[in-house]
Amino acid sequence: MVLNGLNFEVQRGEVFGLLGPNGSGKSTVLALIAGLLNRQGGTISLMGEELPDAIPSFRQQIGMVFQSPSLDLKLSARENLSLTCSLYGIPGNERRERIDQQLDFAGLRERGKERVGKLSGGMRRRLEIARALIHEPSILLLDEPTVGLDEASFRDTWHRLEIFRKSRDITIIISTHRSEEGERCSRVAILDRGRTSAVESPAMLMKTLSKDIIEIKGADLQRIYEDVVKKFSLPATVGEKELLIECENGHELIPRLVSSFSPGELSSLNLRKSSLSDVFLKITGHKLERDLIPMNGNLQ
Amino acid sequence: MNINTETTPEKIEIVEKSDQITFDRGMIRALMFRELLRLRGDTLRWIALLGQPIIFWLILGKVFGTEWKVNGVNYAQYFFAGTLMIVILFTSIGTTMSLIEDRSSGFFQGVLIAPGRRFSLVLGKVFGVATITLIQVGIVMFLAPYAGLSFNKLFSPFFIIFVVLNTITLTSMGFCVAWIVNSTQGYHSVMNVLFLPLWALSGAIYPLKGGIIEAINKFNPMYYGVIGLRAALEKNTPFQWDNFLYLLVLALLLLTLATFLCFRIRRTVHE
Repeated sequence: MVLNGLNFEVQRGEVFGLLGPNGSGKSTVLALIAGLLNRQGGTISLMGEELPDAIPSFRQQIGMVFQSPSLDLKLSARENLSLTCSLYGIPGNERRERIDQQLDFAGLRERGKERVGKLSGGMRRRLEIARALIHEPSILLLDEPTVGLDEASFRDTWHRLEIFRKSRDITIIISTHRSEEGERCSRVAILDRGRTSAVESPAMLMKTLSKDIIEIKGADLQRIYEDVVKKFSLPATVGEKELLIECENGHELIPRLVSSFSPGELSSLNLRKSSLSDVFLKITGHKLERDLIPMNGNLQ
Repeated sequence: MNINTETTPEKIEIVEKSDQITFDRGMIRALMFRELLRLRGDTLRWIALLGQPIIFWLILGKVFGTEWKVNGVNYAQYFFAGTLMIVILFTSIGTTMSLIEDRSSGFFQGVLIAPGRRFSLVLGKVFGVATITLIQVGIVMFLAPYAGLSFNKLFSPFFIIFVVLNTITLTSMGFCVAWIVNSTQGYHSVMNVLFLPLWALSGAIYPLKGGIIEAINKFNPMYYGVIGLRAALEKNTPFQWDNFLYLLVLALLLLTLATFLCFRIRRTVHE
């Protein structure tokens, strides 16, 4: 069983996130929505009307950015966009304007004639998104769109996406295993082994956790855990390498924690703000960053 | 599994049949032009595709050609149809090999998400290869006068039809092999143990006879292809309708098989 107990609704114009580790079924969900995979059961409906399995014409309304690059590296950015215009039947007289618009969106107007193979990873990713938007779809599916991008490219990609979404009233469904990406969504579905464990806005999900997280490393984590629960009555989780303690005022708790243990018992102590990764761990019992066993249903 | 999405109501209408044809046509055009765009500027590919057959023809055709007569014509002339067949073969299999790269690099995902139907994908690829083949055959035809043949045969409808039919059969065969094998090493192996022997047995090099060879040639598209090309090029080789029909049927069967395999990319996911 790959997808079981998966149930969510996406509102028009929202950025909906599918948050889960690699192998949790996120890409499969997107491929099913796009009609790239057959369903053996369940329903996908649009405005309350059930969609038959993979109508080619429905794909006209969908733009999709795949996890693996789908551009032809031997062709220029402009040629790649022009081929996409052909694929979506965009008339010749509209093409130039649309290509220019999308090159502007991707910030590649000046480099439109360069081979895609010569562009940087961030530029290629922006071009992938531009390619998915050129036929003006009403739904944009993004499968791990910022995987492998550095922080600056990540922020830049999201900045451009936000601008585009506001100007076009487009619905975005995004799959990600990055908590900082999930936090940018209007709502998030926590996906665990092919089922939705929670569907809520990031703010509401974050409310289920305290503000701060203290990560403790030490030789005997189980003993440290027992002491923390006994002495401080705080919610704590033992991970593979560290103990996580939820608290409201971490900076006040840290001196008390340190003094309650003998020297050498704790090897490191780290204070940080709680994130969707912690919510994921709390709900599912395992880490967002961990890879699950690969699932069936790959396209290749 | 239950997924609901909400968007503008007018968007969920199924597109008109004429729109679907527009998408299919667009997919064919996109894939066809892609082949041409990729070839442009790829000097090494041009050298590899044209150099090998020309060298073959120069060595075999010209060295043995002046002395040796086969079927009443000198060997240089006899081998010319075989040379053209290997140009078509190399172009077809060389281009369909890119399918393996396309599938692994993800380019095809971008095509499969488009609203065109799957048969358009196969047709786009085949038409793209056919166009490249015609260009390359056109270049090789400049050698025709040196073999005692007319360059103007390039513009004969029969000649063009046979070049296109040969391209369809070989591209479809290459498409099927690339789709099934899905590795460049495997594809090269199939080329060496299947395609090149079939070319050699087709009568491209010498008119081979014998029980087993004749039995294999009954299913060998290149056998009918070479006969067709020879009939279109040489004055003393008559055109055979049954040969043309066999090639046509093989072309359509292989094209259908390639389309069927392409449909199979949609895998089933258990819910």
